Amino acid sequence: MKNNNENINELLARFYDQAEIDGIAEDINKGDKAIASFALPKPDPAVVETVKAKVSAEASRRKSKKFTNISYKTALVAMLAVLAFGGIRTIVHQAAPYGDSELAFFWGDTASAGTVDPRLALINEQLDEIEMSLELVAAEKVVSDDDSAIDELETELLLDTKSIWRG
Amino acid sequence: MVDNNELNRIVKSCQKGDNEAFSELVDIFSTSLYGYFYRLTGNTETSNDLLSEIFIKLVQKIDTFKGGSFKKWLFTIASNIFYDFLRFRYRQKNLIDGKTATLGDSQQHIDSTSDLKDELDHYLAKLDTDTAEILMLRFYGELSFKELAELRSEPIGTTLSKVHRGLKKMRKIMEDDNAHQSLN
Repeated sequence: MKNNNENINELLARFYDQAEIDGIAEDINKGDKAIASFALPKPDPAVVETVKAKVSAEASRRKSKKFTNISYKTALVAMLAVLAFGGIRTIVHQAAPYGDSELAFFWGDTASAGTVDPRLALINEQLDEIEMSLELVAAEKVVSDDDSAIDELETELLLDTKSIWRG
Repeated sequence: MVDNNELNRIVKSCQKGDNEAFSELVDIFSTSLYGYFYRLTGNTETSNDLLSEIFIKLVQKIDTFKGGSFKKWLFTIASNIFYDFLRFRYRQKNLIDGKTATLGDSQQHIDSTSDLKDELDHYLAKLDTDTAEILMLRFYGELSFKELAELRSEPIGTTLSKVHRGLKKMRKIMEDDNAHQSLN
């Protein structure tokens, strides 16, 4: 069985005198031959097949365990990524308070607007008030326009009355 | 035995989880590993169990093999399994007998239910466990002195000396035994 092609004499030369080397090499050589002269015990082929089945089962189990571990790790990484993204969003919102909410306002997204920052709700309220004021102003303008027409009529009437006296 | 390139290819396939590659390793090493366990325990049943155990360990630990001599790596596991078995049996024996047993006892490596089939088992049984193990590692593992020394974490000169003394002692036992038989 032993078949490692080792140069024993070369190895022995590192540790022993030249006079000892031949004797030791011969002892080793004879010992190896003595062991090799005995039959090589071999496992029963049925045992080898059983071992192969066990090994295959263990390899499959290991593979599925590895896959499960990878899945868990991927899920963990995904979860951390979501948490990190959430954290970044919070920081960005704190730095620039009128981000998405502002957009939601401009696009009239009431669903999002319902969850907006109170500061934005205040702005929204103020904008509504301004809008109402503008409407009032517009309404007043119409009224004012009507008044000026009356004034014009009164002026014309006055002028006409004066004209009567002139003949 | 396959050449190193082929062996490396098979091992890499095993590391990728290829079941066929594991079967190839069983085909390549089952005889040498069985021989190693059988010569040290002298028991077929125990050797079969240890053979299963080492291949299961091989599957579990294949990712830890980072190159170098695969045979050395595999027989390091085999050696650990053998000594674990001895320790287990030592504890078992203590429990049963209530006596103190010595791990290095000259008869320690032969199981009490041994089914000795040839004289080599008988000669090995007369050597101490460490010597018998190093001889079987060298013979069945086809390990060089350098690999043996690395496996045993000892200087190569120490390994060389132990193998030399072990082989010489075994031959002496064989000669004495033959002389004894011829007298009878």
